Amino acid sequence: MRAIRKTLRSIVAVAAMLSSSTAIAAEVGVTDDTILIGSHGPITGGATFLGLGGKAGAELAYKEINEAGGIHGRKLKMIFEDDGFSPSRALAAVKKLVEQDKVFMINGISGSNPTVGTIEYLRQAKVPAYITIASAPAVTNPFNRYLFRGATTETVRFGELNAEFFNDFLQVKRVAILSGVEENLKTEGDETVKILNKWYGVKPLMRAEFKVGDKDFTPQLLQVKQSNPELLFAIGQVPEVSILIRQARELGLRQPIMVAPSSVDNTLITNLGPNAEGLLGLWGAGAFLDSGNPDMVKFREAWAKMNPNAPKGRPNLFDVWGYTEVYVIAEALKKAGRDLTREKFIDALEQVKDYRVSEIATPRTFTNWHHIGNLTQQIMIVVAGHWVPLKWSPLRESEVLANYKK
Amino acid sequence: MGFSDFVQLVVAGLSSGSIYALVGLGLVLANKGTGILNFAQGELVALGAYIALFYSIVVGLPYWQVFILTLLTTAIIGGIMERALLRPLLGAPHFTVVVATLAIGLIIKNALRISWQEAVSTFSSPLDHLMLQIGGININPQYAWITGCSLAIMGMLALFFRKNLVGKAMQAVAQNTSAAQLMGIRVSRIFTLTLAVSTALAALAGILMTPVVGVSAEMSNVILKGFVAAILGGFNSLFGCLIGGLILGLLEIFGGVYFGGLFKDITAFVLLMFILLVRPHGIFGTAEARRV
Repeated sequence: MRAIRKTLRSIVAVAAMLSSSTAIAAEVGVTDDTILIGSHGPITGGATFLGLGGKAGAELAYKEINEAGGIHGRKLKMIFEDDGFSPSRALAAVKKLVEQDKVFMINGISGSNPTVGTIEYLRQAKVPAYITIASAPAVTNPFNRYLFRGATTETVRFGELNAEFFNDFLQVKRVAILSGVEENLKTEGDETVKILNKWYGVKPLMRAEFKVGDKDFTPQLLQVKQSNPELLFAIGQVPEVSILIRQARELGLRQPIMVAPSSVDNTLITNLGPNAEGLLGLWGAGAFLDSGNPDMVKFREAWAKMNPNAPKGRPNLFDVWGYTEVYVIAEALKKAGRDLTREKFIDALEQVKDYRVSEIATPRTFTNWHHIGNLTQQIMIVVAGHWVPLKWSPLRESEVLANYKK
Repeated sequence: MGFSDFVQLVVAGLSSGSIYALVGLGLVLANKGTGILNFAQGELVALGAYIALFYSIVVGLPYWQVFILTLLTTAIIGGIMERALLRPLLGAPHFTVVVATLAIGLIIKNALRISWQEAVSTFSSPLDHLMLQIGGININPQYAWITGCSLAIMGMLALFFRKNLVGKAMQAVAQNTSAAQLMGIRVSRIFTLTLAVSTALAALAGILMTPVVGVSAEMSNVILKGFVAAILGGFNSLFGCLIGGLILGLLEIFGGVYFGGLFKDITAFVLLMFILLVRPHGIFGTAEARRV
C-alpha cells in the first residue's frame, strides 16, 4: 500500500512539473524573456554582398528593438547560419535552426536559389517563415499559411513592371534580353517575356543566358548587336553585369540598358564609371541609399555607428531590407500579444496593412489569402553618377494577386 | 560577323589567352625549377589581385605603385611559402606535395573570402574608360595592355634565363639538381627564387585581370585554363606555354560566338581533348626518350 501511495505521489509530482513547464514555455523558441529567431544567408561564397548586408541590417534592427524594451518584455535573439548561397546548405541550416536550436520562426535573408531548397521542409514543419529577400514564385505560390514574402516582390510582378515600363514609358518594341541562368534571374527574364507578349503582343528579338562567374560576354553581346534592339535588358548580379555593360559599350552598343533590381547598387556605378550614365533599373525599397531623405540619413548614421569599419559599397539594398523586415516581424509580434504562439503570430502578420518602419521601406501588406508583402517598385536612373528616381508609376493593375483571391 | 567584330574578338581572345599563358608559365616554372606541381597557383592569382586592391583602395596608392609593390609583396610571399611550407616536403611522395599545394590554395581562398568583405571589386587603372579607335574599330586599351605586358614579361624572362647568371643557374637546377649542386649552385636559394618568381607571375595575372573582370576569390579558377595553356604548350617551354594560352583564349571566344556563350568552356575543352589525342605531348612538347 505504501509503495502504491509513493508511486501515485511521483506521478502527481511529474504531472505537476510537466504542466508548470508547459505554462512557462508556451511555444517553441519563446521563453519569459526571449524570442528566438533563426536566420540564414550567404556570408561566404559568391553572394556575400547579400548575406552580409541582410545580416548586418537585421542585427541593427534587433539592437534598436531590444534597447527600446523588446516586444512585450521579451528580447529578440537571432541565431544566424551561413548557407553559402547553396540550396542544400540552406536546408541544413534551416533544419538545424528548427530541430536543434528550436527557434520560434525563420527569417530567411538569403536569395532565391538557397531559399527554394528550404521551402518544402518549411511547409511540412509548419514553422512560420518570413522570407525577406527571395523573389522565387515557390515562396508564396501556391499559398501556404506558414510562408511569407517580405521585401522582394514576386518575380511575376517584376515582369509586369518591366513590360509596362518598356511599352508605356520607353515605348520600345525591339528588346534584347540577357539573363543569368540562376532561378531568380532566369525567372525574371521569363516573366518579362511572358507579360510583354501577353499585354502588348511584343516578342523579344533575342534572349541569351550567362552563368554567375562569367567574365566574358562577347558572344552573347554580338547576338544582341546583330538583332539591333532599341533596349538591352541585362538581368544579373553586379559583378557580371558590370563586365557585361562595359563590354557592350566597347562593342559599340549605345542603346539604353535596363538592369535587374539586384544590380541597382552604387557598386555598379563605381565599377562602370561614366559607362553607368543613363542605366535604368527597379529599386525595391523606399528612399535610395545615398539620398538626403531624413529617414535614410538616420538609418545610415545608425548603421555606420554599429559598423564603424564598414566595407566600401555598404550599406547596400540588402542592409536596408534586412533592417526593415525585422521591424515588420516585430510589428506582428506586438500584435500577437504577450501570450505568443506561432498560430497567433501568423494571424497577426496577416493583419499587417501598409506597415513600414520609415520612408526607407515600401509598405507591407499581408492578408489571409496572400502572403506577398510588397508589390511596389520604383524605376531608377543613373544621373551624374547617382541613382535617382524616375517619375513614372505603373497604371495597370497587377494580376499577381488575382491568382490568390478566394 | 563584320570585320570590326572579328578584330575585337581577336583582341579580346588574345588578352584572355595572355592571362592563361601567364598562369601556365608560373606552373611550368615552379614545376621545372623545383619539381612541384603547384595547385595553389590559381589562388595566388586571386591573392595578387586582392593585395593590389588593398594597396589601391585602403592605402590609396596610384596604379603604378600598386603594380610594383604587389609584385614585390607576392614574390616575398612565394619565397616564404617555399621555405616554410614546401621545402620540408621536398623529399615526400609527389602526391603528398600536390595535396599540400591544394591545401595551401584552399587556405588562401577561404582567408580571402573571410578577410575581404568590400563590395567594391575593382581598382582604377590609367586606362579606365578609355577607348582606342582604329579604323572605326573600338578596342579596349586594357586588352592591348594585358597582351603587351604579358609578352614583355615573357620576353624579359626568356632573356633572364639565357643571359643572366641566376637565370642560368635556375635552368641548371631544373635540368639536373644534383649536377647543379656539384657545380656550386646553392639549390635551396634557387628553389626559393623560383617560387618567388612564379608567385609574382600569378600576381601579375591577377593585377592585369582585375580592371577587366573585377576581383573575387573565384578568379582562382583560372588555374584550369593555365594548366590547359601549359599542357598545350608541352609543359616545358616558355614559348609553347605562350602559344598554348593564346590558342585557348581564341578558341574560347570564337567557340562562344559559334556555339553560344554557355558552351564556350565546353568548346575550348573539347578541342583541347582533340589536340591531346592527336598530339599527347602538346603542340610544342616532345615525347621523352625512355631506356628499355
